[in-house]
Amino acid sequence: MNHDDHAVRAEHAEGLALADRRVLVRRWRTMGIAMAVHESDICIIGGGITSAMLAEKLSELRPGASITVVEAGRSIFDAQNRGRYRERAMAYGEHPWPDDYIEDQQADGIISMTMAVGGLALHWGGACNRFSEEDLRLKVALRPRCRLAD
Amino acid sequence: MAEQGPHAVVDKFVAWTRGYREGVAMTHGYGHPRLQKTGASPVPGYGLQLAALDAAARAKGARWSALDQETRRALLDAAFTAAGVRNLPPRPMGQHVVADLMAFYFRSSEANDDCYRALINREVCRPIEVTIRSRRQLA
Repeated sequence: MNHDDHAVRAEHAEGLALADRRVLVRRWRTMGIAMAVHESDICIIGGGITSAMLAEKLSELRPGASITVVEAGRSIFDAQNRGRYRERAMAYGEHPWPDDYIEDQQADGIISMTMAVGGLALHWGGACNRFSEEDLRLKVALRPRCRLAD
Repeated sequence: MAEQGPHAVVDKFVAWTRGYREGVAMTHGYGHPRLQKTGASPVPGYGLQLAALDAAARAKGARWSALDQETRRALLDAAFTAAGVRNLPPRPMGQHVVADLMAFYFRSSEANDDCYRALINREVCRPIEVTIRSRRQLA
């Protein structure tokens, strides 16, 4: 299944009642399409430090609400090997946070990248970057669906 | 290289070359969103570069180690110019083996200590309980 198919199916499911959604998911399964379903009251896209704080605040404001945080990257904090990663970074210039990216998911603009649980908080070095052009473009693109900011 | 001696530095440089890995994601700072990977190993060109230095020395009538310092310096200048080396590389990058050896040493924590004649240990992690001790306790 490619990304377009996935998006179409997700959009299709979004407009259906819960019972219909379950029927739809069963039908996909019979078609051999494996798709895990996680239902929650709130879904936060991205598992960086901001989403962690947002999830905490929401859990305080809505104690009964279920919250799901979705992160495309991995959980990379590897405490046992931190020393070795640091040594490789100093000696060879290698990335001290291996696997904090996905090859084709790098943003445009003057920003830094970290696609992993923890996000840029993993790299925090006392710098705040301006929003990139891509950040602003995404905001415009997502506004019709974005209810959280309203 | 007075403290360690040139042979010790060369040994570490050789160990460094053996540990080099190609095509590994490189570290990036803020403002560098594009992923960069380590390039080809600098090692394959070293043999030819050393052979060229040896040939240039023999053309002067002696082995490299037997030449006077000014002659060696002139030969190295010519080799660096031919290789396009204009500055000390940030790390060994294969332009020239001598420039790479110099970069390896002069950018090291040990060279920093040699320069200041003090045990600064710039790149050594010290536990917090050590860094917050007074100087007298550290000494």
